[in-house]
Amino acid sequence: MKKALALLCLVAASLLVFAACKESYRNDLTPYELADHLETEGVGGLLRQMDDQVGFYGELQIDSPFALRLAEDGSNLDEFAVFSCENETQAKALAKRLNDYLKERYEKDRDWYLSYIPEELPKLQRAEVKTFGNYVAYAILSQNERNRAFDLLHQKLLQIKTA
Amino acid sequence: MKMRRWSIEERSAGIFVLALLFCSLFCFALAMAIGKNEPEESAPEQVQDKNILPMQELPRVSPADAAYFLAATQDAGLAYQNRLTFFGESTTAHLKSRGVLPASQVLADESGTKRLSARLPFESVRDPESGKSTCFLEVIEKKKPAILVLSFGLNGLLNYAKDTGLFKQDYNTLLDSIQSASPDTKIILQTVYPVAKECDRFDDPTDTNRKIGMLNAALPEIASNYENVLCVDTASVLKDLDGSLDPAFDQGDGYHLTASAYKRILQYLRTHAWEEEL
Repeated sequence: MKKALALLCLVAASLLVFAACKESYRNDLTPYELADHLETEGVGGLLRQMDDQVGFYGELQIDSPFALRLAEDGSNLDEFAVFSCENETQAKALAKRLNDYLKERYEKDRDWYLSYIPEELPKLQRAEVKTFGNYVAYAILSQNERNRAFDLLHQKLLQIKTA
Repeated sequence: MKMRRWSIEERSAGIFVLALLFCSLFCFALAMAIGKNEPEESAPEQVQDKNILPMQELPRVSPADAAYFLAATQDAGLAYQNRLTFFGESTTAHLKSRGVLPASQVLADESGTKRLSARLPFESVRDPESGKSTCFLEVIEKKKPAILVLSFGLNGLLNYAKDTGLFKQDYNTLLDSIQSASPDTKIILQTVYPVAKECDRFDDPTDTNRKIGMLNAALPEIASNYENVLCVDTASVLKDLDGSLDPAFDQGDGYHLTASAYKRILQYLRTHAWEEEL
């Protein structure tokens, strides 16, 4: 009975300790530094920089600074971008708009890509958007590259604070 | 009953009528005989250059739109042709790959194709000088082409036919960005090329050509919103009598073109030259 009670107390204490720790993200890095980090780690192959080229997104209004990296040539669809917002609320709102934009882009371009680079189309179909605190990132990459990109961003931005 | 004898006057009149009838019949027979024996009209003399086919009669443009189309001129020659830079879909990139024009005159990347979109100005092309993959707008800014010939519409046709406003919007995006990068560049919008009666890419080529017609009808309006932008009906020289791609110009899949087709296109551009001082 005593042992069971002691075990219960230990578990409760552990839970309390974990609850006191809060996972949060840094906000002191520029989106360009984050994109450079991904490029350095070899995400996406050969890429061109189109940072802050708001015209690229057409009617989607982008008010935040961003780093945009595209495949060097048109034979593959590799692309990722990192946006830096003023707060998490803005980041989440931008993430939603980017999600809608990517879906629309897939619908518009699907038939065309099918006609000449069908093997690349799944990248756009499964494009993903994630938020990391004040940052938003999307990736049009293969599944492995996409997961790696987001993991790298998560590790780069993660900071654990204790209460 | 005894027949009355004709008078002299009546006999003379009768002889005259018979003679007239005889002469008419004779002349008719003579005319028929001459028509049969006349040799058939010979075929038009073939143009010496075997790569250039005789020009077909061109379709008429509505008076309202005619102002935005380049009119027929004397052949402006190679000096004019050498000042043209081309940017467009695969049917434009093939100007280079079919060996018709040098790489310096055709902006394209490894994919060999492009599509109108908001992103197009930011997509890559091979810089004609450095050979490096470069943003299209950067190339335009650096090269400042005298005349830029654009050809878009087949890629994305189904979406554009549903909403020609989107076609105009995407073309406007491209034109705005080109004119920002190089305001003095003259821009020529080519009509979208037709597809053949049998085409790998489209289930209903007749309907496809109808949709192409819709986009071509929008080109003058697009041009009308800009200085230094005009249209040219290059597609007209590729068409069969029913408006499909002439089989003589079909590379085999119903929409890509032969080298002779491109030579016709270039001939048309030279004979519909932009004549203002550059």
